[in-house]
Amino acid sequence: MQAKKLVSVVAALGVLAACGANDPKTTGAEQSKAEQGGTLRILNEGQTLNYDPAKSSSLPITSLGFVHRRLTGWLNAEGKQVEVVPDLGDTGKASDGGKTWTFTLKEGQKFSDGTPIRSKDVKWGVERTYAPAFSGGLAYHKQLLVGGADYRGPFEGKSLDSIETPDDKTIIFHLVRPYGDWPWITSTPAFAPVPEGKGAEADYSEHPVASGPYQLSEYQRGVKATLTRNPNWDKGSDQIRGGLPDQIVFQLGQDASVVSQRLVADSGDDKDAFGSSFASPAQLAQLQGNASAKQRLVTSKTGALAYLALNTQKLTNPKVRQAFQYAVDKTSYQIATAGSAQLAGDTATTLITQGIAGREQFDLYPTQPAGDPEKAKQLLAEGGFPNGLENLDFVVSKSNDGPTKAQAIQASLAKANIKVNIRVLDADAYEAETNLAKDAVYDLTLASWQPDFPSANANIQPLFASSEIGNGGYNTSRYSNPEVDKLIEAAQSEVDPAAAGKKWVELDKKILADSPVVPLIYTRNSFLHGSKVANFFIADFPSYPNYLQAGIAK
Amino acid sequence: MSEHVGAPARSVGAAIRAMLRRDHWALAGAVTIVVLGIAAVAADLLTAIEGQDPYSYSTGALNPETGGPAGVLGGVSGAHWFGVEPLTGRDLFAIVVHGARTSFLIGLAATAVSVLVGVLIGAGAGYLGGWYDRVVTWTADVFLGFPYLVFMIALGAVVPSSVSRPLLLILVIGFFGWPSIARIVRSQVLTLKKRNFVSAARILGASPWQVFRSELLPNLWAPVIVLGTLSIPGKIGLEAALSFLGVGIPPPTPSWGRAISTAVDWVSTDPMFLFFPGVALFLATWAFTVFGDGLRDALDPKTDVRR
Repeated sequence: MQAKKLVSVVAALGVLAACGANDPKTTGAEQSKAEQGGTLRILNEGQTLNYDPAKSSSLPITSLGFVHRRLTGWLNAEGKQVEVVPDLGDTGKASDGGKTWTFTLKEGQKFSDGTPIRSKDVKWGVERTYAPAFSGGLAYHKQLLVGGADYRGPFEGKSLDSIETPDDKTIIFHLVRPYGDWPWITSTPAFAPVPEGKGAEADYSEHPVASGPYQLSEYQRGVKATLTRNPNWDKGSDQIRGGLPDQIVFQLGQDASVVSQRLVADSGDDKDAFGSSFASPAQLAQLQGNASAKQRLVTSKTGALAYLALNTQKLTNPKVRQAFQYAVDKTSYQIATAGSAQLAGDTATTLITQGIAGREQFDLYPTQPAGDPEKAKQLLAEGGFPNGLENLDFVVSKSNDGPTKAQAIQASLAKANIKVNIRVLDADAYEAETNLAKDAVYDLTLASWQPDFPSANANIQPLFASSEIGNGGYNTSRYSNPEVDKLIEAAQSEVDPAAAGKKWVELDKKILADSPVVPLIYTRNSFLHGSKVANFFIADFPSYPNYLQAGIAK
Repeated sequence: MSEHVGAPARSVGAAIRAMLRRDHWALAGAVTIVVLGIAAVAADLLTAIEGQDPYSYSTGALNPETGGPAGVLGGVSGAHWFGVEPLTGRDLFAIVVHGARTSFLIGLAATAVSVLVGVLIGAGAGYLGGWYDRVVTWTADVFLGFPYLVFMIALGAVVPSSVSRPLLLILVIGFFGWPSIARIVRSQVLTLKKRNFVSAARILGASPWQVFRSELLPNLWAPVIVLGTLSIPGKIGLEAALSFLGVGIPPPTPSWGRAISTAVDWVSTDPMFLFFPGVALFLATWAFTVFGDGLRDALDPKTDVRR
């Protein structure tokens, strides 16, 4: 119920643009249309902005999309399922049962330096991602392309033969196995073109050759990045980018609470700005008393799955792990996340997130959202721990209010006689310990996962395939089940979406029965924008605003 | 101010008693210290009387719209004397009194560490002189100009979490306090060692350690107590600063600095969340400062050497 109310608030932003509201205070932004021209300002917490596609994990609709086009892109709008659509190329044709994919590039596309974009340049861009010096971006394609497992990039003189470019317009990918979601994979940053032979230098991200509506004209680490128009961008061939503002300015290294104060105050240049990080619970509480600012808050309907990962290598008994499903108080987690259930998002019971095609709602461990400590104690006793568990190591990242959320979990586990010690780490150290380390010392950790493309595949494979343990993988529960691995591969190979959907739901249930994670909530994200920023919306997927369509109202 | 001037104090204790009768500000400081001290020691008892503890979440005490406290003044009520913490509903009174325990423990223990190290090093430098004195003086100068807050933040991030944080804080904060004490003790010892009773002891064949224990130390108590007391507020503040910056006491152990850090984000919606731990920290530092000032007036080491 509450969720629905919220959704209508979000939707109202779009409606207001057309119909006009009674409140005189809102006559500025919300009602006017995004127009050509102006400067869009983005207030960014991070010190750096990465415009090297090989190192990027940016969504197709956010900052990287201003500068780089990709082979395919996403078209998303409020109330519509996100679609994979042609960007530089078409959306591909499968042959050989889904093992070979052929794409054709559009006519007349040019880089910002005026040279034509050829299929070779896309190939070069993909090959670059294999170079050890340019790792760190999304890597779904790396193991799937034939020969990718031991390819080390084009700078050592070899090319990847599984990518064929018979002419300047055609590019053919040969995969190791059938893969139905390949057109989604080609919308990841790795499939942005890099002029063949270029991009060998480590600072390519500071002077990339642009294919999108803007080029990076000025970059000062920790201060700002300015994007100006790319004269060679062909608007007619690009259906996913509005390209409305004349200029885009990223202000880097901004303190989150300062950003929020500035956007609430909405004066001067800040009217043309939006914040790129989530509004914190304290900021959201403050907005409740400010009608004008409240109207400029955009909240997603749903979003990333927040979960408590149980290290299955240390908590080996499934009975004990199941006890956590009952012990955790999901309502206190909601409040710790955003102050209210409504702004935090619905409590979660499945691994596949809301809004993903084929998802089925189920609950293997039905209990009230606040948990059932007695049932948890009983399961612990059955698992051989009648006196509960002591001194479990609970590692969390300092960023994104991690410690606050961890304390909520800690307090609820304590009621079921599970005593945990919170260990707070900086984001880098946290990653080293949870994603990179071969052997994990922690017992529990908090994590959150937003699929990189709207398919259950991207919900489940990265978190539960045994190949994703350590080495940068996100299987933080260190879950390894050969049967599940086999089923994941079978589901990935399914080219028919309906049949694939069924297989993923089966996997969802099968994995949760082993209880490697406790699903907490489907996290809503809230963003605040200035009064002149128009057409700023969050569609059903992903739970981030679409940067590429936003514009400035006159 | 009272006109009464007591008989020359016979001991440090008597001097303090006389000072408290004379100096009302110092008395107020002493009373505040005692009250906060009792709160710290009896934190469990006090929160049991209130019927709360600093760890239990109580989301029922929160405003369901915002996650802030339900009710006025940050949720102050009979059940929650200081209201509750936003987003968790934990009792703020319990957090403040348990936080007093953390602050006092670290402030006092760190002071003990700096006094111990400072007296030993300073007395040694003053009495032995020579190259040892030069090294100590030089090192103290370096330490006094050292950006120790930055160093402590770095250390907090580097030291493995298996090392107990309170112990680490006590040692680190205590260690950086030695130079100011060592310098005063050294200069005090320099004047003392020329006095006849010290020369006599030395001529009679007393070892440096014996001279230190039976001749120097009794005359060092007064300045050391003054310096120690005056450095406690700085150390409580430093612990709060480190916790504020997220490298102090780890959650969920209550700490004023961490509570203040969280409260800063909430100041416009729930100012009482900042008010209570803020006032507690202010009172603690103020009380030790005025009490220390009173002590200095009573025990001024420059004018009075007691035997």
